[in-house]
Amino acid sequence: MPQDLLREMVEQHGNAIYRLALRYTGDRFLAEDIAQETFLRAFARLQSYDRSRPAAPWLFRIALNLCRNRLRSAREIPVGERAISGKANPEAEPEQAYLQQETEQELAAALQALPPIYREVLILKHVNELSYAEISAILGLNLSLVKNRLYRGRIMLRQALQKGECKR
Amino acid sequence: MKKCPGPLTWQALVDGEEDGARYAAHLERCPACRAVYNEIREAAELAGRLRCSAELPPGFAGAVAEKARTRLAPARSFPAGLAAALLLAAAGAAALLLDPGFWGWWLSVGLTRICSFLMDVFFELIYLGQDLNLFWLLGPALGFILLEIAALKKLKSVEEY
Repeated sequence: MPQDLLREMVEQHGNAIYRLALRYTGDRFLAEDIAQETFLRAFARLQSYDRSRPAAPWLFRIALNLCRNRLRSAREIPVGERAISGKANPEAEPEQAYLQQETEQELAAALQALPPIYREVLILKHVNELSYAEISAILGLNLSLVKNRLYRGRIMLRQALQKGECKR
Repeated sequence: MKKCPGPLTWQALVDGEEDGARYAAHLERCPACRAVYNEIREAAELAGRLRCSAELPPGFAGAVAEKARTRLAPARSFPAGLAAALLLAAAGAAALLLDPGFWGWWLSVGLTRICSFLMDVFFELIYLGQDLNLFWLLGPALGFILLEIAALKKLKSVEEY
């Protein structure tokens, strides 16, 4: 049953897709919307999907395309005004919660400042914890390009974070 | 190992994509490589802060399944649209075949009632089929309105007769 397959896919990959979209856009509501649209698109194309192959790379590809498109149209919204993912720990002290939120916002801003080609590799590696080979299959890049982008992406992220710290 | 491996090799080692034992000895005796390795490891640790544990709200799977069901509805509700179109065609044919006169007058009045009844049925069908496609909604509605006008015209001609 396609409905059962859809439910299974959501239960298995829903959070991973949501986290990817959340880090990519920095917006909770947009990320939820992207996650939903990812599964709806997958559901609409179930007929053409080869079920012997793993669903995750296919879903990640759909989600990444949606993120790219949505962000292109929402580019004018500054990161600071979006509903950032940084949910403060409810048990933390107010000061600690504030710092935690601020750090999260800095991280989100630094990630948003990166060109998408580096941001995507970083998210797939660090948020979704995928291997080089998996990232290469999702993005359709060769392994050395994945390694290169990851290397440069990490350096750029560090520089962006350092720049943010200097501004404070 | 005579030649120093490049930074991408050290990165692969940091990410667990290379066999550590193969490079351990070199890393031990080469301070330049050790510096590169440490720098990459620190950058990777910093990027590791991107990891997040956010979860979708409960009920998300159900909401997606429900949305998928309504998106599929246009294909399922086609018979509703088809039935409405057939009713429209039948009513239209009846209106065209009517002649002004005793029967015509009676039927024209009846036709007005039938038209409103058919519109109700049509909108019910649309509602039950969950198809809110604008074409299916407005197309037959327009047809019914035209039919109504034709019926009223016929009624007027009957009164004049």
